[in-house]
Amino acid sequence: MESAKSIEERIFDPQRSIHGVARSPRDLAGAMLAPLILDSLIVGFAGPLLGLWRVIFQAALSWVRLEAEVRMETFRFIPAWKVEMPCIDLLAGSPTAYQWAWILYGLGLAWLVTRLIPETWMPLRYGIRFLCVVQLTSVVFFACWPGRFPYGVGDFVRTQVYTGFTFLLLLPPVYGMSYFILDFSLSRKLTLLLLAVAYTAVAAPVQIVTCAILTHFGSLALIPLFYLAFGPLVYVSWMVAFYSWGVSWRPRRAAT
Amino acid sequence: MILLLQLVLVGIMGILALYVGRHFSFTWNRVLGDQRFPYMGFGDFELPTVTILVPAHNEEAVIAGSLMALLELDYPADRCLIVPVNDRSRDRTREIIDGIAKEHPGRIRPFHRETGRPGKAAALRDITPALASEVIIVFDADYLPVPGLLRNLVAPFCDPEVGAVMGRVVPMNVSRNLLTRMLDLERSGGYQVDQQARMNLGLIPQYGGTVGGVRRSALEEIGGWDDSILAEDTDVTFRLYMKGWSVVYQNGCECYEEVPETWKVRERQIMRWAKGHNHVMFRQLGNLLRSRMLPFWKKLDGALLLGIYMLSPVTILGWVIAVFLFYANHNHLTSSAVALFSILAFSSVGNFALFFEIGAAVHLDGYRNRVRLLPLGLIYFLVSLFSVSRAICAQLLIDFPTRRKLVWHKTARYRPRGAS
Repeated sequence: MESAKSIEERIFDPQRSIHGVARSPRDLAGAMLAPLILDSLIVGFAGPLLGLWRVIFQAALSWVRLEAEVRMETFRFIPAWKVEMPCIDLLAGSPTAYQWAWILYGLGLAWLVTRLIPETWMPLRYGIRFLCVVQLTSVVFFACWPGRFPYGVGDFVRTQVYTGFTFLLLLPPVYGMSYFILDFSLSRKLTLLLLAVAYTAVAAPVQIVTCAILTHFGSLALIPLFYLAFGPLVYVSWMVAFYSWGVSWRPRRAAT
Repeated sequence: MILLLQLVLVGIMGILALYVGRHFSFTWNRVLGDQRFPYMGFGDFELPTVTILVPAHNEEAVIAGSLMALLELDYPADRCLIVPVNDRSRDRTREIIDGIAKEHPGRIRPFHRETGRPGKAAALRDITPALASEVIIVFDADYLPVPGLLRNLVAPFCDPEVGAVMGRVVPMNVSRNLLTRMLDLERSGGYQVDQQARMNLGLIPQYGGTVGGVRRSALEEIGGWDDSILAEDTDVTFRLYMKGWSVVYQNGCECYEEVPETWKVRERQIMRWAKGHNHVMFRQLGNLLRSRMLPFWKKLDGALLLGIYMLSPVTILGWVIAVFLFYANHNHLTSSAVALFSILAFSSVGNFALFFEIGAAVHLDGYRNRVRLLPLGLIYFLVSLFSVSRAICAQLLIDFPTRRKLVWHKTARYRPRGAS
């Protein structure tokens, strides 16, 4: 059996208990200014950026051969700022009895599968069950109030575009408060931030239009799942993924 | 009805935002602020007499290793007594303890407990009156302290205001599987950032029940160990603070433990912690807020610390309300999105540590590869969230109304049986 001494030699770094991060006025200024500058750029280029989202929507729709209009709607993002955001006029109906039944069977099957998942994969079991519960709310709603679902695909896209763009604006200050305070060179910090923003700027509209297309084919019953489980949750996952990747990079210098 | 639900959701968002702010503050302080290590490097002081208690219930797999490591401690033998507390073991624990005690006369004094209330707190309560040392140090039976640990751990007790001290717990079986790696991340965040930041800011660093110790006179002043509480460590922490004692966290005092290697064991562990911690919250929150010994910020931090496990059911409640509003509230889709986003944004980052905290901790620890597992914290978090919520619901709906006694279950051990 491994001795305490051996474990200590393997794990213990006497300096890590007092490790800090060497900070300079330049570092702190960078932590505040870089996000501010990038947010200003996002705001300044909101038009072209959201225009790109419109192009992505149009490309995706034509790829699946769906004829739907992608138009720009004026949206008051904050009281003093109006933004033109893309919106898709895509039709989707309440689930037919056939679709409703298939969704229910799918949920039952998914739940059964979770019972077969070995304990080693318990988080997967919880994840699938979480999604099942979310989708089940939709099944129940459409069973009890079939004609009263208050949203269409257009509403869904509108909200997701708003949420996605909000998230894009939040990324720089969040990274400024969390990643820019760590001991990495300014170039690495900026690189990570730009990569995360660029990824979100492309991935968000792709996700949105994918969900919209799936809703069109699968019925409005899928909107709750896409909205509640695949919207902000996915954005935050990307944020965490980029952050953790950035933290794994080599630090600038020995910590003091 | 809709308005009421929206107000509740806003309230929940407010609570979550408070915790977000708290953890951000801790991260910033740990990374950027002045660090407090007031007792580091203390060499020239009279070492107090110490009794090391090692509660053990069916610990035949690990007790020998722990006792041998304790015998190697760099501490005057005449000022240190090791007392393994055999608590109603049915395996070879007693035999192993007696065997090692016989080989080291005068160093180890076994205490065998055959009757009485089950549990660690009860065992500690039974043995404490028989002790004469100034300081009581507690190690769990699977812990492996390194030789230099004890001197650094007891150094704060040269300050007469210090009532308890806590070291850092580090998993030794990190490489075993994904779960152990995730738990190591969690431990890093909890100790390297959270506890140290609370030490820096003069808030509430917590005595954690192992790799820590209590001044015997302070323990007597607060009435000793409470054997009706599962989380006797949290309980002692708050009772000490409310009597004017301080608790010191020593980040450099590392001791190694086994973390759960299976999800089932991890579930049981966190459900036990949640119930025990909440039990202390229900008992002590009012006393804490009324206490005249503590300034406002300590009371606030203490209250947030006590309420930490309640975040899980509160988060689920927020989700349920948000879902309901989603279906019912056509005109407020956007506000629901923002609300849900806020909840999910916090929820995605872990049980009670923001991923920033963990990221910063791992950065300070220097584990560059392991931090890439952080995104998996989302799924890992789901397990904790639902396990804790299940435990708290059972506690509120079954345990308290029926006055069911909380039973302590030991965590599984993974070292080969009989290893020494």
